[in-house]
Amino acid sequence: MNILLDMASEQELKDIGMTVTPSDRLPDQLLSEVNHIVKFSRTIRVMLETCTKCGACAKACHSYLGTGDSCNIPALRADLFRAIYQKNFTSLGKIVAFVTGKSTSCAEEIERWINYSYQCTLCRRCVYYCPFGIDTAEITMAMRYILAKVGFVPSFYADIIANLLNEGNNAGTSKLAIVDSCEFLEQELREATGKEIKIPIDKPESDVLYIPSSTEFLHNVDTLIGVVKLFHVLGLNWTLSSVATEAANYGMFINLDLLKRHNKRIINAASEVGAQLVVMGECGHAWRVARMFSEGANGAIPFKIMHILELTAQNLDRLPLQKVKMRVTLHDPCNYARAGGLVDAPRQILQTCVTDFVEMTPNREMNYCCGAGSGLLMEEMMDVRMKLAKMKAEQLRPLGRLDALVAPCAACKAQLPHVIKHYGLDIAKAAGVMEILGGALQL
Amino acid sequence: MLLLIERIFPFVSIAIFSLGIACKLRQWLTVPLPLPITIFPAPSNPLDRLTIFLKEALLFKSIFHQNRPLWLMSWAMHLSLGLIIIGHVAGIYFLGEQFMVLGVSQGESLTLSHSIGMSAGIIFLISLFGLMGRRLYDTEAGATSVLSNYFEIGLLIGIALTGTFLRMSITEPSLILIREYIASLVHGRPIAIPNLPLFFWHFILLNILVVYLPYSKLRHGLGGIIIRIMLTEPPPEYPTSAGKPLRSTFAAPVNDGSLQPFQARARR
Repeated sequence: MNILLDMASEQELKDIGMTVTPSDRLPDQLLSEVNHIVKFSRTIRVMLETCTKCGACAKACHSYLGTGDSCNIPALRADLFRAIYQKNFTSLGKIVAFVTGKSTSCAEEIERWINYSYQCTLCRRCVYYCPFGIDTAEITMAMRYILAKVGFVPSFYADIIANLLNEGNNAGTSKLAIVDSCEFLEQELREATGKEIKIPIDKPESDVLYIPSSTEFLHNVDTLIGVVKLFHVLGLNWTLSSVATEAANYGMFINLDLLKRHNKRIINAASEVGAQLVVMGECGHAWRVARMFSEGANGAIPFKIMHILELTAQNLDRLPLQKVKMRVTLHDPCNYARAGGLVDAPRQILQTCVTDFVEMTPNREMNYCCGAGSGLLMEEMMDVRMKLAKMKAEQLRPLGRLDALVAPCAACKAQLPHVIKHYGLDIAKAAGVMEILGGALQL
Repeated sequence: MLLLIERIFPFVSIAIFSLGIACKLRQWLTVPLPLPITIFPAPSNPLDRLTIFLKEALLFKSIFHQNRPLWLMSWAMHLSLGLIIIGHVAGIYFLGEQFMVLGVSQGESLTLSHSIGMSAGIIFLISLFGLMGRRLYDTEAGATSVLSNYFEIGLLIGIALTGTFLRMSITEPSLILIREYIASLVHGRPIAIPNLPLFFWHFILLNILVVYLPYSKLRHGLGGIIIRIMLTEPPPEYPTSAGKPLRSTFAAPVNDGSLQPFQARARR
């Protein structure tokens, strides 16, 4: 199916330091970027050259299952890249191209690349179906990197990156607004618990630096309240940083230099406050970048990196908890279950905090994506997002009535309420694990 | 022409094959892996990693869990292919008498050799037809298949058919002739190819396969091994141990030292 993605204008790209390739230079530039990326990472070349087109990946992909478009079968999505690569970089491909004389215009190729690389949410479920372990998400990411290099970036992403560059977070929330928001939360906590609980910002000589998703200052405040309560109960010497107010790293979706530099921002923030431990908040891909990519992107990391859910699970027996009477299920974010190895901690927390925890099927590393992974949260994609969430809805429906669908990821939290409404599911709300923990913590 | 086929082509095909595979491996392995692509559950120690790797390589674990019919066909195909390759070496070298080391009589060894060889050949053929049928009749496999996939399976079916008929009809004197020819190739002093049409075609098709293999999807085994090694890499541990070298040049510090990735301007 064709998607209508708003693409960033020349000016918008310029604002984030990116350039547009003039159309006459586009074919050459595209090939030069392809050449660059196959020499940059072993994954791309080996994966492009190993697929046997067995089609086993089809049944893995929520995008294909939801849209019914065969071009969304992972092998065929990767074929868009593979076609250009083989035709120009492999001997057999060059011969075949010469004999068949088949060619499509560069503009058409780019249109198809945009169309299908943005119908993949980089969930990596296909890796578990492929006999060779081909990770189509790697290829899709490479396509997005190349598209961005030649000047094709969805304007939604360009906006977020501009915010990230200007204010240090996706939402573009200024330091002043964050301080204000934290003061408001302190007041809320005082009213709810009768205690003076501080939310420190840039506190020097802190042991722990907490990196939240910036949504926790705005609409996922209950998650941040849960985190603050936890740190208070554990008596940790912690702080937020005003320069690293965003766990999410959109660089992973379109530009690796940006990934590297945003990650560096977090590393610098940790050294500024002297933290020995950096705790990442509830954001799926942020956890993948922090845990899996930090060293590869920025070299030696001088501190420990943990996820807030790991920290909580490790200290569960020290927490004054009272089970909340509610029926909940857990949605495993793709980047936790498949790319970040974080599946047991949220389960342990939920089993301790609520009276009725139920599993959806399939779960853990075989769970389906919410349908908005990899930052596909733009409004103009709503129709596609709901199609991509078809499998999610089919997983949820048999569970019947739920008080909460717990999803410890900012993107999932933004997408799932729409899915609940669109598919008429009997679920009261989408929530974070830390939000549920906050409700169960007795201060 | 015959001279070319019987005395030169086998050497050329082996050379192209070895060179092709070596170049491909070099091409793949010289490219860095800047960011790990581990999938979870990840192995916690080297033995664990080896176990995951072997389960995939020998038992095709992923498709066993996700696509049972495809697993049955492809596993039977590769297993019988393995048996066939071993059988070719042992059966031709020992002229079917290889099982005598197990203490059976010469006649019994010949029967065993024949029946195991025939069974493996037939399983190989059936699974190949199954895999071809799947590409023709399964919607998703059909959608992903391209011409070369049919050609590759067709070529394998051709080799398997000529081989099976040869196995059915072969007599001991012919087998001795084949052995002499193969030995002459191994020793680098090729003699005339035996006048056995089925063997001739079997041998030609095999040579075509050997030449084609490094440049086609048929080298998927090699790619699969490299990918699986990447997927089972242990996740990094923090803080990073002192003196650990950079993973790749990508990890080198950014020159400008600025936190601003680009020279961004306020835009709202």
